[in-house]
Amino acid sequence: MRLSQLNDPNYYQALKSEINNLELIYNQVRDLSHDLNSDPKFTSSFYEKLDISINKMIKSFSSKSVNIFPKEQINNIKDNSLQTTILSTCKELITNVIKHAKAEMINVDISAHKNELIIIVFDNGVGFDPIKKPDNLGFSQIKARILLHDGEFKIDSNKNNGTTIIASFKLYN
Amino acid sequence: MSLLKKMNREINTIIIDDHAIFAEGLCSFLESDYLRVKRIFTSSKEALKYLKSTNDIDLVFSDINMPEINGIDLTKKIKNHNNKIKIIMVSMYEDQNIIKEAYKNQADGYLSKKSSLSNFKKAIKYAFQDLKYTNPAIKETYEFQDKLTLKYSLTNREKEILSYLIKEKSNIEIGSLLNISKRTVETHRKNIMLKLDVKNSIGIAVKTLKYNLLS
Repeated sequence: MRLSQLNDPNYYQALKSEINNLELIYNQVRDLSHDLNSDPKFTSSFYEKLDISINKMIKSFSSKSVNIFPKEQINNIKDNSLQTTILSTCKELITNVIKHAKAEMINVDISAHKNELIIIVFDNGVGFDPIKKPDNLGFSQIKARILLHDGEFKIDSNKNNGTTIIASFKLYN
Repeated sequence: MSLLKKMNREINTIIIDDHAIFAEGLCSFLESDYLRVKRIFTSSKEALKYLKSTNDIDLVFSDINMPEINGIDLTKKIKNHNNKIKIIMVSMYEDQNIIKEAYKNQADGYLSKKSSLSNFKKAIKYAFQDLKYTNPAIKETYEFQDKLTLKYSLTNREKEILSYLIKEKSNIEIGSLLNISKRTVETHRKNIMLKLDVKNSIGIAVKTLKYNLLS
């Protein structure tokens, strides 16, 4: 990167997007280290943890909603590795929307059924053709993690019509 | 109160509450020709010790939030010792989870500290018929809360889908109306059923109309 090229608008755009990416990475690393450092004495319930971190992640959207239901069932998820998987799946799905979707609206919906937890992330962004480019959005990582928990991963997207992504995990009580 | 008179003798009671002024107030409020308050305890530990030393007591009124042993654990301990003793919880808490927990641990009734004398009388009557009485004021709050939680737990997308389901649209039709796949509609529908606590489309329709969820 040469400073003399800064006046070139194309170059400037590329630089800007790199800076944005760096910022995203910085925030993720920071959040992750906070998660790892949290003192169990002060840690709130899993429901609160999810609610707070998701709201933090989506605060830049002009229209947003987070719906986690039902509280007790969510708090019954005690398995640490499953908790981490749920949280990081949400993080990755949201990060994708931030990076690629150009959406104003995002909905994150987490529902705990008796034997299954369903995460739905829904945006009104540009969408994409799931057959053409499923793997350059980091989905393979999420998929691998979900499969560890006997889960399922579905992409429902149309060009210019937003994206709904559904990730589900088996719950064993 | 004919039932209580039929017991042929007074009901011997103790009151356990770490706030002495409340316990004493409750005592003078309850004392009558059929009910005798034998002792008042501000310590749950002392109360348990006393109950283990005597067979005289028929009924216990206990607070929940107390140092040493809380009311729910105390109920469990008393019932383990003698399950004939009736225990009615008297608490400031109106939280459904706490009420559930109390009943799970064999409490015989649950009264809010806002209850009237007639609520107390009813709770006593019910307890001796092996029924559980919960102060109706508490119940109403819950049903009301449930309705609101129901309404606000639905997402906009779910409400959108709900409005089509009520119009007897199929998953495929809804999918094409909203530009999403049939499987996505199915997942939303599954979540709607979870939130409304119903098993099929009829249940969805009944609850939606009953609670006016789409208004």
